Amino acid sequence: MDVDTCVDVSADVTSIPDRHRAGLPRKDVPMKTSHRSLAACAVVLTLALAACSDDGDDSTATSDAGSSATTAVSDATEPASDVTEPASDATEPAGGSGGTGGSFSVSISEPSALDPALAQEVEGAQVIRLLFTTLTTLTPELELAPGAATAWSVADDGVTWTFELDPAATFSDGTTVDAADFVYAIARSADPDLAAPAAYQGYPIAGWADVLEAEASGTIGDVPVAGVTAVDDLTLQIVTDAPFSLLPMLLTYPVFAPVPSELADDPAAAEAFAEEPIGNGPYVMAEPWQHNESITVVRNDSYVGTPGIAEQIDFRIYSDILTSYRDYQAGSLDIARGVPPEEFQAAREQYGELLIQTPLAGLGYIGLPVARAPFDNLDFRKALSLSIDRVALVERVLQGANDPAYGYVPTQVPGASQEPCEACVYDLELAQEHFAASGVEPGTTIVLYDIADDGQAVIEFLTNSWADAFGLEIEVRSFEFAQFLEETAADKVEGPFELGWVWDYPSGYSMLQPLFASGSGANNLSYASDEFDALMTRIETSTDPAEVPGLLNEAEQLVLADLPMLPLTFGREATVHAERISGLQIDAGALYRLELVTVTD
Amino acid sequence: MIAWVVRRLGGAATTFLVATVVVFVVTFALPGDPARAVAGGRKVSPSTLAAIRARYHLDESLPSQYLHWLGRLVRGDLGESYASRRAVSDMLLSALPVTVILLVATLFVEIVAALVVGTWVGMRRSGPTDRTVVGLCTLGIAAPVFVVASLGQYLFGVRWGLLPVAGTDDGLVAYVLPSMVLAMAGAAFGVRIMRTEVLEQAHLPHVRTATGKGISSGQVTRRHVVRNSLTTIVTFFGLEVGALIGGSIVVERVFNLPGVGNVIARAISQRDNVVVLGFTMFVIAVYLVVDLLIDLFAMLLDPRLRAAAW
Repeated sequence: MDVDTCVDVSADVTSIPDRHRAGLPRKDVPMKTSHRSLAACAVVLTLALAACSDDGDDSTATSDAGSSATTAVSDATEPASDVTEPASDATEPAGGSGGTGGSFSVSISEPSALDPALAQEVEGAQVIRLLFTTLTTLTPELELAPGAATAWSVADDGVTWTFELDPAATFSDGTTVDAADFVYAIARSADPDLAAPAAYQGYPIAGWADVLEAEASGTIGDVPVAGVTAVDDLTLQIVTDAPFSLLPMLLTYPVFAPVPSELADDPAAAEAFAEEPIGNGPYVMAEPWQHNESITVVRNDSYVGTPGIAEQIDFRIYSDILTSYRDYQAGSLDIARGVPPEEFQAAREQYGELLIQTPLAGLGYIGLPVARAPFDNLDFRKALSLSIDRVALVERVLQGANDPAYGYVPTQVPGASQEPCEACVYDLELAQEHFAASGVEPGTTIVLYDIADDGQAVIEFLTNSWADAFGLEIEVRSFEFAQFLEETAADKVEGPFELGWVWDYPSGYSMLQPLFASGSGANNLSYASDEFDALMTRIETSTDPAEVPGLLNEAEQLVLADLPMLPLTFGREATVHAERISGLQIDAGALYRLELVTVTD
Repeated sequence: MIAWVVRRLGGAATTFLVATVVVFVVTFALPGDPARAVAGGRKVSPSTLAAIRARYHLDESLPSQYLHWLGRLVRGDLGESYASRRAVSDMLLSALPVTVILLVATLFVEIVAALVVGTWVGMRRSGPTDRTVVGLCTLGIAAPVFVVASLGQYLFGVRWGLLPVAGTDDGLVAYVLPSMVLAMAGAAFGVRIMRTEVLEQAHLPHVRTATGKGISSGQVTRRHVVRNSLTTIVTFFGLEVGALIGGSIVVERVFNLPGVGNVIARAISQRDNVVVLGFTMFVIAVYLVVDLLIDLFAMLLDPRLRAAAW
């Protein structure tokens, strides 16, 4: 979703370097002695403290939010004839009576927000996607499916989209989800008063930029976005500035989720919304957010879509993935999202099928300041790329927790180039040829930026690769991410840097466009190619979904030939789950399909 | 005495004010634009950045921001977190109980260890027990908290399943292992200090006289040796509170306790300056109060100090 997400998540993974290695159980006799005395003291202390009041326990009153028995399964209005054919929801739910029930726990780090408009990282999104249903949704295979809208279509002008809402849909407070709620929610997300981090998402919508870039008024959601109107209670119209074929994909992002329009006139409710949001999703909050501790959601039995299976889901908040992994090992956590890299090999042997690995659409790359010598030289860029042994990097440095990247788009995505890019393989001989052709002298000093906390091992690997291959002198500079962004903004970046990118919505477009289109959000070093921009426009205006993969492929090949950044790795999500958990699916955007999890006791 | 307390309070207030300036400058001098951090690091619209800056007064000069912050502080308002948009005082209030329980439990372990073990080995100088305990203390001081915490968590929580691995779901039992780990270094220090004090006291003339008068050895230890050794150890524990707050950052993170240290660590990595500032100043205030209380307590124990303060 965000570069920052990548950095943050990986920071959590590895901010405890070598800690575990140092803590591996060894047969140290003196330590044993001290442990015995510790255990003895533990008993004493427990007794001593037992007299004190017992708090922090038993606070989870299981609110029975599912008692209202209006199980209105959507028998939606038939889609209009010229409707964009959404993927049929083939996975028919267990039925109106709900699933098998039960509850399970899953690890998460403290989200930055549960308000969908403020969502910006994958942690919050895990919860938000259960609490809210966007107009369009995605199947676990990342195909478009109906959500709050049962059907949608685009007019012949290519810019006017019409969404039919489900008449039976309600928010968890019982009010109907109507078009006005979407109008309000979108005005709210675009409002500079809210300053939503993901507000950049809405730029394709007509009038969005006018609201977002206007002076803040002091009231949230007071200025409607011109392109978003309620035709009637159950019909929403969204107009884009230019034809934008990916709009239904874009609308799966939480920033476009419906918000009860009553919030506009009720400051107390608006404040409570941040702690206990009222949504239209398959689950509802069981209690307000227990910051740094837990978020508990229960099944919404009046949900009109496919109901969740488990009765209750406990998100347990951890600040460190080694801790959550240990909790899993001790049997007190059902799903541990993330296995610490240093534990990965052991986990693979120990847990077998309980360890799930999901390839992610998260690219780790080396950015290059292509406007600066010697990085303006294509031969030099190719030489740098060809001298990186990506397989060794993944296996030896990253302990098998990633996949090597030979292109910018993961191979499982439609349109992604299936063959490794010419200059992305490991070929020292060819690298030397390109280096010689570049005219760069051995002994030249280049600056290498260490930005992500996890970067160190990778940075060392790159330093060695380039120093060994070409005799380059590498000067490593450490930067915080926010600080580095200022360097890029001031055009002061002098050398390669390692960053990551995760798509916002599942399309190769969302991988390529933000990174390489002129003036785009994640195009840190202002790469510009008219040809590439033209291809992006063709995708945006395409009326034939079948031609999009081909165009994406062309665009990717185009950039790969230019090599303004070196693809390095693709992320992989490693998850361990308890034996009582089945049916867990994780998509390439690292979102957990927790509503599909079955608990067997 | 009262004049002394007033003087000390005045001193503490001055220290606090100076600390606000130093901490403020250090926090806000850190590189990285907080407004961009709030926006998640994307290229955001200038109006969004402007709105964020205005919301948190980031568009003003540093002295003006400081005065804003100080003005709100006086009214008990610590500001609003950039990252979560929650009131810093709310965050502090919800994190505080966890850290208080952890610190109380830790100090309890340390004090008991210092008084009991320290006195015990002090009275048995140079024996095998003495040497063993001194050796163990060295180990306790030298072992990094990180390592001990992880090891303890793995062995007690995962391997033997005796204690909870993490979190506060299990109530007070959850604090047993974290407080043990956190107490290790302090307890070891305390034992050594107490041992040295007791050793010194045990050979002073008044102790010999007391023994010579035929007072039982238990009485001599309690009334003449331990009491005179307490001033040093009490002062030590005063300083220890400060050290423990630092150590709690590590322990709270490893054991996933949602306390003050955990929040500070997160806020620092997120550039959440207002939270860092509010929490740090709170810790400093606590420390200043503890320092004052410790001095008062030392006076209560030692009439000579009281005389000096008159």
